[in-house]
Amino acid sequence: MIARRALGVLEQLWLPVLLVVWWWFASASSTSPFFPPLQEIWGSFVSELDSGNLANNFWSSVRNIGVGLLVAIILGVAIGTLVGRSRAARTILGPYLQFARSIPQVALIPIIIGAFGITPVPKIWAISFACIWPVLLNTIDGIRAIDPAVNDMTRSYQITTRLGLMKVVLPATLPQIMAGIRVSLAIAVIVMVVSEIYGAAEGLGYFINHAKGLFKTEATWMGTLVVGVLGYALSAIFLIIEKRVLHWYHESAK
Amino acid sequence: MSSVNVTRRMTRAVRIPGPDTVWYDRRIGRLLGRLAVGIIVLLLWWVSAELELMPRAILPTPLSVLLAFIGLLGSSAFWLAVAQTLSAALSGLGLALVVGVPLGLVLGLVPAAERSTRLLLDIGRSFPVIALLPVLILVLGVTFRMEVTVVFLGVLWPILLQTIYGSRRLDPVVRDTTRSYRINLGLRFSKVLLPAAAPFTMTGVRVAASIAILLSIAVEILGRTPGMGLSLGTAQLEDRPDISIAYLFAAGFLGLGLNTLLQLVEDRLLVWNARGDQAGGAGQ
Amino acid sequence: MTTTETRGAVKDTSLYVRGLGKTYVTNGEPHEIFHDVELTVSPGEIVSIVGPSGVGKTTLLRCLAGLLKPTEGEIRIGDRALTDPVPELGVVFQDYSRSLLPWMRSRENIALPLESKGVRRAERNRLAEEALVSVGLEGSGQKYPWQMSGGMQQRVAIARALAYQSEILLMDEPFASVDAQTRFDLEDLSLQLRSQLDLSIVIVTHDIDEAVYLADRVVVLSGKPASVVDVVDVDLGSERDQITTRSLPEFAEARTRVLRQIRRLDSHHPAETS
Repeated sequence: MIARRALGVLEQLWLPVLLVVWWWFASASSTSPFFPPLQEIWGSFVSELDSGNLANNFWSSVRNIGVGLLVAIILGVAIGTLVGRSRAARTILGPYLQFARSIPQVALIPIIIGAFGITPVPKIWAISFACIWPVLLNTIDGIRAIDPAVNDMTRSYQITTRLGLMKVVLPATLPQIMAGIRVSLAIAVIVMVVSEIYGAAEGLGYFINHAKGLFKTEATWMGTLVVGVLGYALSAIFLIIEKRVLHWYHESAK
Repeated sequence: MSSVNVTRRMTRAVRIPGPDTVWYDRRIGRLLGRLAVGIIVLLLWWVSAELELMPRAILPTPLSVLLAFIGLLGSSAFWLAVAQTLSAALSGLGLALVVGVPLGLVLGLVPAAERSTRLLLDIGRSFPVIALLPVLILVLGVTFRMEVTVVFLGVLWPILLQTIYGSRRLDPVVRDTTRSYRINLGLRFSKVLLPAAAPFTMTGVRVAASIAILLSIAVEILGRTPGMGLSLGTAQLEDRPDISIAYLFAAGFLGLGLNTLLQLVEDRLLVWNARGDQAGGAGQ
Repeated sequence: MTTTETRGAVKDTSLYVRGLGKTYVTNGEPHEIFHDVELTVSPGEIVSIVGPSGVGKTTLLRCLAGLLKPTEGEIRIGDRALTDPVPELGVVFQDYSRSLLPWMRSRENIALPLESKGVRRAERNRLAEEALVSVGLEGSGQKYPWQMSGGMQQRVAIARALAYQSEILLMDEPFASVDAQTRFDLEDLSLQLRSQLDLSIVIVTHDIDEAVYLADRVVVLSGKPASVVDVVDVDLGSERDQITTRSLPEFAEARTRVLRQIRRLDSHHPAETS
């Protein structure tokens, strides 16, 4: 049993590990200014970590993502619930919402930063605005998909609106909401990076761009990898949360 | 996955004597309702712009945006920018198809390979490609090639993952049958595997298309390669928010149009695939 | 809160239906589902509503439950007119798996309507446990619905109606989605609950045997648009069991009469002499 699980993990790890090791040795003797040795990239990581520079920028970015996402989730679920409950609103607003979602959110960044400056708050607004759409649209979908039998039940037993929202509607919509948040998470990271590259004084995007400007290629690569790790870690954490919160959904689908 | 969409579309057409029809069930009612909402939104926009509730740099009047938009439609610079953005997006998309589809089919077919690459695919999928921009600018400079590379790296994942998914879903009975009849590999790929995976790949392509346009514009904004993104950013810097918002809408329409087009192709493909199923062909 | 022993004594609610009709207007065209339905359910009575599939039984039940507004006629419960769902009515739906909430354990599912009524937690749990005992599911309160069999889930749904302290149970083809053996058990449970708790039950079913087995009166709905074509009094006594009752001649008589009445207006079968 344990052997089988170990084998399974090994199967998934051997290729990535091999690639990293290969990268380490293949780049060790590199003299190209664009492809620094992995060793130096690691060295840059350690030194920037020591100086606290990396950490400051890292947490600044994480803060932007966190606040932006939180606002987007709260607003998205709230508005989505309101619109979703009303068949009239859903039908009439439908095409408008589809259009709003297809506007490339990144394109708003120059406009927002151009108008409001390079402080963190406009970035958080940009992140919220971009992230609200998947959550909003998924919430509407989820509410629309609630089984009419459930509605019958809440009406027959005269479940109050407040209790109904908290204990019936929201849990029923939760699978869809979580799917929307998962998409929003990826969008948040993208908007964060773009906004910090475009115009910022702090953050991981700023760090990477700044390093590029100073031709510190190891730091540029290192920052990029850190962003990658951040993106991966966030989605992994989210997956764990989703599994816990939706355990009833996964269990009942079996 | 896409089959859910189709069944929903099909059931929508059937009208059972059920709940009484309401005003917004009729086409004219819906149209009027949407028109009313549109007018209200425009009015709110106009009022907030006039009152300068937000800095002029972000909220020009709707009229100025409309005029700017019309001006764009007539300007050759605009269409050139659109062509530049589209060509970068489609090139990246095409490359991703060339690489992603065969790779996806193989990985879907060989479970061991899929397991070995699963972690890599997970990482690739969650990696914000735009973060690679500074590195890629270092390596490739501010060029068209760099922009296509970014798009390629960004859209490879949905196409790859969807194709793997579709390839995995190939009915094992069909797989064994083709194997036992020793149907040659090339034929197996093109006549059996590819059509079965096609609908899933199409979903991936549709998702990829909007990502491709998004990425192209992002690269143009940040890296200043020619295209809609650059024009948008330039307009913003030259204090012409009406033009930049007009570009914003244009990008939205472009994405919507492409998505609609691809959705039509996807649905058509699904119908053909489903018809093939009914004729007793490859399972899904 | 009324306790189970004094339930029947404190309230004496009857259901009166007069001239009930429902017509839908779709795209300007009226579709009459049923008309002129008359019904009276006295305390402690079981009334079956039986008819072919699609005749409008569910629509009728939804009107009785207050979920649907009829286009003509009236429904009175006790001494008041019924226009919306009321606490005296407990509804048991056909598809239990869709009306039981999968994110709640069975005890929480049962207690939900009580929570809405404002009952405190300790009392809620007590009533829920009592209800579980009544339906024979003592100790299953912590299980999730999807951990239970179909029959058990339907019992939970019934328990929910019981805990709600309703006096009239409205059941919409409640045993259609379970296997035959479970169906017999649930039918007997319904009879048991009626005698123990002095409930009234209105049960909609397409199963004629079930309709006759359970009922004091069978209301036959047939035709297009539907109407009550017959009301059959079932004289089988209140002590019934699956084996002996079903072999009584009175059972067969009632059954035949119901079937004839249904077929009379059913287009698939030519008219027979009654």
